[in-house]
Amino acid sequence: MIQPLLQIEELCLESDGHRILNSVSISINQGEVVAILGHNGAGKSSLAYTIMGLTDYKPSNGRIFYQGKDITTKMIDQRAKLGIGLAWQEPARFEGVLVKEYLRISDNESATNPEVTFEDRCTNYLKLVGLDPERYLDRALDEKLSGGERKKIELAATFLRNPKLMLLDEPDSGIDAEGTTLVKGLISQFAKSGNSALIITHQPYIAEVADRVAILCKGSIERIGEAREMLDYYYTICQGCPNRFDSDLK
Amino acid sequence: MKTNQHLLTEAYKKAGGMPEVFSNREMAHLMIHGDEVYSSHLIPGLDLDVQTNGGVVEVYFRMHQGQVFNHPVNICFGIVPEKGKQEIKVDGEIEEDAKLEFLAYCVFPNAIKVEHFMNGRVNIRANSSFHYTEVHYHGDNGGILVKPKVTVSVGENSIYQGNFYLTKGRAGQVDIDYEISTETAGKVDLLAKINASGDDNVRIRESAILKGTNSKGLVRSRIVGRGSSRSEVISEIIALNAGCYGHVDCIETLLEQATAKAIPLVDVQHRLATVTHEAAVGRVNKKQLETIMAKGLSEDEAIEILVGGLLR
Repeated sequence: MIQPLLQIEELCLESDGHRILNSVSISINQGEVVAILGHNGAGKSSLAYTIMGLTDYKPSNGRIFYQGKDITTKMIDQRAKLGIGLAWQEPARFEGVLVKEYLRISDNESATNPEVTFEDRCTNYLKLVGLDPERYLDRALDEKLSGGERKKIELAATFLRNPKLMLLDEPDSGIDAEGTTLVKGLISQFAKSGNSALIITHQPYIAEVADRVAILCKGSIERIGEAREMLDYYYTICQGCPNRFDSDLK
Repeated sequence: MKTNQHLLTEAYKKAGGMPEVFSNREMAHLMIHGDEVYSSHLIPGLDLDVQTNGGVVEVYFRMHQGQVFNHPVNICFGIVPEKGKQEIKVDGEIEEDAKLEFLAYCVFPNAIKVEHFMNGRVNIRANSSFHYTEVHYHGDNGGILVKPKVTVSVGENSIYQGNFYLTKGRAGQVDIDYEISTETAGKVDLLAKINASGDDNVRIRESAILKGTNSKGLVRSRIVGRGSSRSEVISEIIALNAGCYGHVDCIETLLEQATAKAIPLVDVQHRLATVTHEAAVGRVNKKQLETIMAKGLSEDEAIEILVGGLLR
């Protein structure tokens, strides 16, 4: 039996007395793209942050295994070094930190792809997300960039990092339709190279690039299966469900 | 044996200055060690008179009407020995339709018991601009008191931009007091960036008084405190007339046992004026920190990147 790249077992997360994730179990195989689809407040981003190990997202129960090893108590940077990467839904602003510096600390391809220079890799990934490298590399990653620009730079940085498991939190939020198409293509290309991705989204058309889709509702995985089947279920059942307005678990 | 002038030039270079500017005949410069003028060069359009009076260096400058320089006037103030006192009095006039930029390096590389006082007054007449950037380097001992007090009058449609950088080495005892007032459609932009460590004590008072209609003020400060350093930043904008707009923006990031106080003072005396303020005092922003750590960097490495950006 092939060991999954990521295996989550009965993960629970609480915050301020509210249950955010309720016994979530899911696995992701090597080279697989899985989408977590759900309404706002279902707990999707919290699941990604818990996998990444953010300090405010310590599970109250359950385990996270990565390449067969328990990483539940590992710090963010330790998980990153193991090969987990996160593209944030709303990327932070960094005063005085240049785009090229941000890309440099993200760059993980120098070891695996030494024949291509860092500058060429930056140029390549910025173009792939629809940004002109000459306009952006020497700019600060601060409030002078729009949310959409910072989002595209965050995606370029995450792809440049080339993690074994990429967590993409609402990868289309804040970016234009053309950018969304580019990002979907990048995810597909990324998976073809043997890497895995977990896409967090409330947009079924983004989930279309996934091999499997899990529908998250009120902190629980309601069902999981082949993408087409799950998307049909989501369109017919979930979009009219009254629970989508009551996603908070008490 | 190296002369003090040679050592001052080395410290100037270490602080980020480019010594070649002192031999460029197209660029004005002034180099003062203690109360002694080591070197100066003038170019047409700028009057500069330097005199020593009872240990006080008195600098008078006047930028002629309509003059615009392509290069900044390069200035180096400093004291090389471990002990000493430098007291500078500046009186400046920028006439109408002129544009002037000063780039000053204030270097005290070996300071153990050094005092540097600056008392400045600058008058910017209408339709002119004056940019004053001072970059300080106080060495690694923290044995210095730096006390600049500057008042600037910004005329109609004129601009004053003042930058204070002290981002390398120790800060020592720093007490900054700037007060800038603007006439109609005048603009003031103040920025201070200081890295404090050890038992450094930093006090900043920056005040923009927006007197004329439609004048604008921006007062920003970025302080990184380490060790047991202490910083206090008073950022003040007073808007007295219609159409005045001001913004105060203060970030004091604290590491180790450092402490800080930020006091934004917003005084709006006209219903058609607006002043906003924001301040963040305390630890490094968590989201920024976790974003960098999610790239595989340790917490310490991530903090250095964040504070490095803040002080750039």
